[in-house]
Amino acid sequence: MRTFGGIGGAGDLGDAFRTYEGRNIGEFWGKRFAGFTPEGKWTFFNKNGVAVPNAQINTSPFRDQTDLALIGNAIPKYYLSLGNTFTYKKFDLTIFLRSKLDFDVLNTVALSYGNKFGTQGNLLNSAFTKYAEINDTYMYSDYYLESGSFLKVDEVTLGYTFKFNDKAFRSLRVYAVGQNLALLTGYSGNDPDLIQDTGLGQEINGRSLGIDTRSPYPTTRQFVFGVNVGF
Amino acid sequence: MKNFKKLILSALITSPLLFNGCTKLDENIYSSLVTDNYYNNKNEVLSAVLRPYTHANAWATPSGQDNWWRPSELSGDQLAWPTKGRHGEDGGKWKRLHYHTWLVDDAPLNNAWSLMYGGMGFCNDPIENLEKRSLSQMGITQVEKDAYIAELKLFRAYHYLKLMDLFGNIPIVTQVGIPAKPETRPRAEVFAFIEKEIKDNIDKAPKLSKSMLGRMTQAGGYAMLVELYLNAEVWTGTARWDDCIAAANKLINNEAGGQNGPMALDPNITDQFKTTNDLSKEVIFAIAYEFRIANSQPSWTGEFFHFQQDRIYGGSRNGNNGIVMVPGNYNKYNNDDLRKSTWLLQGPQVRFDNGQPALASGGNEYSDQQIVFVDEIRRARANSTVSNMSEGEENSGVRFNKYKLGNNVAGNVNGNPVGIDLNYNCTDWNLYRLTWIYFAKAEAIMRKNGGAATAEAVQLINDCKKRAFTETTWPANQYTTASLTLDELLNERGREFVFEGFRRDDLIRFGKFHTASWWDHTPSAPFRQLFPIPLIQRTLNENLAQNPGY
Repeated sequence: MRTFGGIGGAGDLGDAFRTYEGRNIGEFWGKRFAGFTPEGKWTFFNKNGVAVPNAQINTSPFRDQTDLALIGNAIPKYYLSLGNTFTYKKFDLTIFLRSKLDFDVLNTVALSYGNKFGTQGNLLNSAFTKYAEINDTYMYSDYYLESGSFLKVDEVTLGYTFKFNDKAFRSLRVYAVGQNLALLTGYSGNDPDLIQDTGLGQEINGRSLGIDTRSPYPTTRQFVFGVNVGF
Repeated sequence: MKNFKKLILSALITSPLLFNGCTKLDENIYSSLVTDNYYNNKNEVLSAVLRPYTHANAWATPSGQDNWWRPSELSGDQLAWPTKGRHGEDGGKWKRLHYHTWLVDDAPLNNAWSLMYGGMGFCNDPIENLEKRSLSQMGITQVEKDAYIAELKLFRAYHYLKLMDLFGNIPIVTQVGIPAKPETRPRAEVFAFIEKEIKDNIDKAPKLSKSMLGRMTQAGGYAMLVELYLNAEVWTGTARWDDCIAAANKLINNEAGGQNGPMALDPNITDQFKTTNDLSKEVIFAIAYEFRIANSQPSWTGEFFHFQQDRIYGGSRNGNNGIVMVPGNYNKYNNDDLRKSTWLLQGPQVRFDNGQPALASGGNEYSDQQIVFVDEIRRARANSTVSNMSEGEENSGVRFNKYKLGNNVAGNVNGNPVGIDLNYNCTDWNLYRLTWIYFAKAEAIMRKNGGAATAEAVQLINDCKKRAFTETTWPANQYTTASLTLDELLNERGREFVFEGFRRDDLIRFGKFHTASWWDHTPSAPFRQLFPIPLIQRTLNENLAQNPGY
């Protein structure tokens, strides 16, 4: 058994992934959330299905001992993309869609900035709404594991072509391109497209497999306007 | 054409046979030093002999690693690493030590085992290599060789002593890799092995002197015997109080050398712990650091220091805001006890460089406010009164200030300018000091005497304790044969040896480890007096037996 993927942040949360012989790679192994106590303290299921506090969770590497369970996989099962060009009279429309489906992401943004316990730093609004119940320290469990599936409208191009009966100047096409136009996802953290989906145990530019980053640079939306002149 | 193909084919097949002239496969290795190329001169021999000492920094001191020190202190009644807000949950490992709920496969215990047996291997290896080489090959004399081997065997015994202390029944290995899967030996047998190793080698080892700073000597050997015999009743079932006293006398009577002239108690409570504590008269065996020359530095800052501790002491090293005193211990010191004010940090903290309030930063509970260490563990900022291992905050707990790191910025303390300490970051960590021997002898005398103090025992403890008081405050604080009970001795041991790694042993010897309650800790079970043999080790070596109860 080896572990990969340091979660980082306060509280020494350790690694998010375990690779066992004979099992898939990219597997999140972690605690299973069992609810909060009335005081807002975490409880987790042990291997017998009993809700216990964190200190009673066995994090053994041995599968017959550990209370940690397979709680997700960070590698998408399906990669889809669709590129199509439609023409109607003098209009042309190109749409490029891209999607990654069926994978899990550890929402470290919520883990660190959606918990008001013990900090005076900046917090997400969700710390006082969705996560208001938490009155305890940072924890890694399936509580913060979300589906990262998304569909992205990567690029749309709309053009219109004027034709001229002139031997030197035959046509003029004006077009507009929009990139990164829409993201459809249920994931509540950053753009899931930016989360690594390969490279277990390898950090690339501060990003690692399946673990959202706490300091992302937001993706930009770009528009390009242009003309094509046909001589 | 066909023939030509055949010719090529046969050439290909036969060529390895025809040109097979390369039979000498010895290679010159340039990328690393292999054992066969080593031990060629005294310097190389010495660096092999000293290797286990640099490793012992990792396992025997509060080095920030899961080692011998952490379970020895954090399972006791004095120190703990509570969760403080968003910091310090660390997978629950501190709570399992504190509540005595550690598991057979708790990673910290396996790490301790690996570090300690690794260090033991660093002793076995040079012993073996020194023994199989000729003197001329190594460029050392017979006397030097014998001394090195004796020193290494004593230091190996120290590893086994501390391994036995944590795990009890353990395998004894004296050769590298032989046997591959050693068997568990009962604790009494391990005890006998350690005792014999020390006795067989102590006279061949050098006496303690300035040149043996940081190394195992006769003095360290006698200190180990004192520790063995002091705990013999627990470890073997047979008390050895007279042997304990005899071994202690060797040190008290200065028969085993001293690091700075004759061995004696330091006259105060700071010489042992300041940046120039290599000049202490009472040091017996220490892990030595020399930052300026060797770039080796004390490694306890991570355990004890606040995130912005540098502002308080005028250095440049900080910590994880980790280990604090369990509530209640601070007030076991009388207010006129200098150890309370000198060895512990409590109350509002000021900057070393200008005397202004030392502010915390970093977005925790008291960010941008003055750091104030308090003798309580609760979420005071959230007005909570709950006090347990989960409910600490940034300021919780009285802090370590026993060893001093020194300052590398100029200071202004109570209006007085303070220059830079040239010995900054060079403070040695004592594993044995004479005060500990005094206490052990006094305890042996008392236990021989049915638990009651004698005049001699009182004198030994008073000689040590007196240093923590002024002439005016001492008379009210000194012990008499009536006031020095065994319980009081345990309390005084706590005050004197806090942070030094002996608390678990003390509690076990006084029968309190699994029976007493402290703060939020409730009594555990007798089998918790030994740690389990780590499951990973038992998986690697099926000849290891598990300790009872696990």
